[in-house]
Amino acid sequence: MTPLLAALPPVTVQHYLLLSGLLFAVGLVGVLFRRNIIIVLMCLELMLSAANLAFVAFSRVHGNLQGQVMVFFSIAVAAAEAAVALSIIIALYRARGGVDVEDAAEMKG
Amino acid sequence: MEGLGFYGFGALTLLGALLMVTSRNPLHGVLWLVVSFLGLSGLFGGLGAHFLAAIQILVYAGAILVLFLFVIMLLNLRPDDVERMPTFSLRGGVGGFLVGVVGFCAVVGSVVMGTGAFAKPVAGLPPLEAGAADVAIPLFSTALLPFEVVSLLLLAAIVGSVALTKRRLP
Amino acid sequence: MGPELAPFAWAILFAPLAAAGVAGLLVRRRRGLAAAVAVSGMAVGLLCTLYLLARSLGAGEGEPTGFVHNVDWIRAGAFTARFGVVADRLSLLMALVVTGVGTPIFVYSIGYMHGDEGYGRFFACLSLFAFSMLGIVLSTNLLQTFVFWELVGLSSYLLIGFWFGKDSAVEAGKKAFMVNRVGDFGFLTGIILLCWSAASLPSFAGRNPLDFADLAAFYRAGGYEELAKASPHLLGLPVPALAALLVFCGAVGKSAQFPLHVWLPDAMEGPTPVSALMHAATMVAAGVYMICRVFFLFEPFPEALHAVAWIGGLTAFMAATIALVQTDIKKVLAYSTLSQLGYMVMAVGLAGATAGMFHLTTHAFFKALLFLCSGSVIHACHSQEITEMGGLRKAMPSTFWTWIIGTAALVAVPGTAGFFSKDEILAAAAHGEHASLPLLVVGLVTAGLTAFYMLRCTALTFFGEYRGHGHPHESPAVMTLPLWFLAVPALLVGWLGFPLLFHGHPWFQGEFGITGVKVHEGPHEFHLPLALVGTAFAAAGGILGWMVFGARRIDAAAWKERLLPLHTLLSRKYFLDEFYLWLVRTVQQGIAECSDFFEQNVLIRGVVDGLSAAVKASGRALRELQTGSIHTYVRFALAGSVLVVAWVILSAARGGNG
Repeated sequence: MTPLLAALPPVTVQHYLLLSGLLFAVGLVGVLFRRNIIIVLMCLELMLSAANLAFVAFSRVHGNLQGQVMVFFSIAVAAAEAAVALSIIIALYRARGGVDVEDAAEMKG
Repeated sequence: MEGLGFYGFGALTLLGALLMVTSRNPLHGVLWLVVSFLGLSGLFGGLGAHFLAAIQILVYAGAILVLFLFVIMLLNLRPDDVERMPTFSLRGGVGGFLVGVVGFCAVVGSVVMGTGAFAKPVAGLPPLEAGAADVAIPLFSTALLPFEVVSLLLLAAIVGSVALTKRRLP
Repeated sequence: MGPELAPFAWAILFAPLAAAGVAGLLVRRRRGLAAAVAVSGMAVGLLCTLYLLARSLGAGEGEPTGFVHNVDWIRAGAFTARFGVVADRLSLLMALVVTGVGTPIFVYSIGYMHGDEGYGRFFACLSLFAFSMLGIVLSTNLLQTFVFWELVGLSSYLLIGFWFGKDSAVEAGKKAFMVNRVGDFGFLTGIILLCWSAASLPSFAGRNPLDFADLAAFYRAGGYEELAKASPHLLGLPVPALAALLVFCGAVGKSAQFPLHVWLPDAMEGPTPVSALMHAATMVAAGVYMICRVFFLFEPFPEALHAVAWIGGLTAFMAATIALVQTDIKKVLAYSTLSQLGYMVMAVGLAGATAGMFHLTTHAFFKALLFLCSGSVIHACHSQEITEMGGLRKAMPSTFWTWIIGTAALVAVPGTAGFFSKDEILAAAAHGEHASLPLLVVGLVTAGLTAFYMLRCTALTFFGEYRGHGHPHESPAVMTLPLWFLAVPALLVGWLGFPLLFHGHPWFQGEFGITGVKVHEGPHEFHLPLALVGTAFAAAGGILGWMVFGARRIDAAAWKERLLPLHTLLSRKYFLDEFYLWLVRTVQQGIAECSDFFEQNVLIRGVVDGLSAAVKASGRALRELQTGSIHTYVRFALAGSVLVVAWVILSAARGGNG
């Protein structure tokens, strides 16, 4: 295992950013194409976390803790968002008996 | 050791994310997301953000995702509902593939364009102490006002959740 | 004579207004008091006028013969409108006509309106009219003139429609009001055009563009040439000439000149004293007076003067021919008035203000007299048709003799008032600065026609056998005394202008108005041959009229048969009323309907409905974007963020390269 690792290039901040981007893309694909609203919400959380990873990586590069403070706030906001969104899901489920986002289409013009 | 941590946790995170996105049952999805967040926590640790690594596990994996679980349980989805759970369509699959490709290309492009400090190995960067006490200093000095505002936001979220889920009395 | 006399001039103006207020608001129930207040208001005006006129005529060498007294009325930035009184010979002469004719008519009305329900209202309206009319006369500027001009129109409307229970009276009042609107529109346009073009000249700075005296001084200094040069020609005329003609439009309306004369005959629906005062003597002369007041506007432009003279001549001739066939005694006098007004306007166009004002003055007295006589006759016979009268000379001697005096003056029997003024007009047409042979012929023929219809009317009314109902009797003294009071000036006022008599002190020559009425130098000559020719024409017409209707040597009915088409043309007043009705009902209505069609189909169905349909269609197309699906919205949001990111990256790359 060690020779294999040694064959890989050394880990740079770019690697972290690349991973962050991939996570974001995965989350975005989920938001765009999943119809289960719970999954969609989890994908949003994933996207937020991907952004957090980028923040931490930048913080590391610049040697500045402000980025981590930002992530702290981001997690707090994510908690609030999750609470409200889950409440909406409950309300939606009560109203529709399902969790399909396509069901909630009252705004159709 | 550095490389092992990154690739291992990175693979774990990505795998968890992919399985979460593709899971048919949201309950499984939450569990896969827990896996992903555990990996993310490891990555935070790799970047020296130990405090955030702990927060990620405690708040995200511990509190928020448990909230998801509670909700899923609360909705009490029967096996039928699980079977009927909507999933990918063909159109969605193709679109998702395209978006993924485009997003991947964008990310790779941005990384390739990155230069300077971004291209240096993380191990070679000057050490950054980011324990609880280190993060607390800017949090309670320069970011004091946003901190308090966030507390208000959480309060509003609590009130909002209660108001949204409260059953109307007949 | 100077502004220290201004209180007298203000008294002339405001005494009738006070009388109108008191008669109209305070003593409506006490009829006698209302009448007394109105008469005394008018009498105060007459006395003040006489006093000022005496002071003006008695002014010594080098002393001003008039004054202007102004107060600021409206001030708004650079614009100042004044309100004032001008007391020069021109305005005082006109004020004398108004008050001198007005006072006996007011007295006469006491008898004529006796027992009428609207007695108090009548005197209030009459006093209001006197106030408005004197406002025009004493006005010092165009704006004030226009305001009183409209007030006169209002009081005319009120008095024509005085018996508002009668449909024809209401219609006549409306007609008078609306026809005058046409002229007043031109008047107002002219005022605006003149003031606007004058005020924009730098050399006009410091003067008030509304003020007669300022404008006249400016014109005398050659300002009209600057005006003509400064602005482009409009409608082929220099702007000042066009403004003068537009101002003349106001006179065409108010003085009932062709083609806006149609309201005056109908205005005879009002009580006869009203016809005498307003629609014969004073109000209809306001147009002539106004042209005289602003004569300086016309003077530099011969083409404008020609237009004025021809409008006047045409009116004089046309109205005289219509008067030949009228059977209503007031209508005969109405068309006669039209004809004489035409004479006055022609005189102004041919010879200037003095000749026009001279004829205006004499005409005011004898025509008011004739109208009052006709009122007396109508009062006695309870009919206005001359076919239902006859032989009244024995029953009504006072009326008869005063009528004869008035007729003599109108027909221009040598020695009476009309003779001198008419002679001066004919002289101007023959020898004047703007002499014109066609207009001389028009004048002479009209003189003959005038004599014909007056003799016809006299013969049918006062001679022969009585053909009406009941037993006519002479009117009370309160009515006959004013007749005699007016008969005296009708006979004598002409001598004042007779060149041979008042050689050293001519009223109607020399300095006439301090607001720029230029008068030719030296006393007017008396043209004996022309006077003889004019008299001959009148005599011919008169003798013919007497032969047909008095002595009955010629069979009127047979001639009527022979000339039936002509008779119809005249008795239908050249079909002008029909033409105007056609204009309104067919042409205007047609235009309105076309506009309506255009509006309904093109504007509303095309533009308005089209716009709304386009909006609807685009809305329908755009609503497809609103799928209600969260996924769609997320995709749009993603596309937007991709665009923003792409733009940021591209501009960063370009900035980096640059």
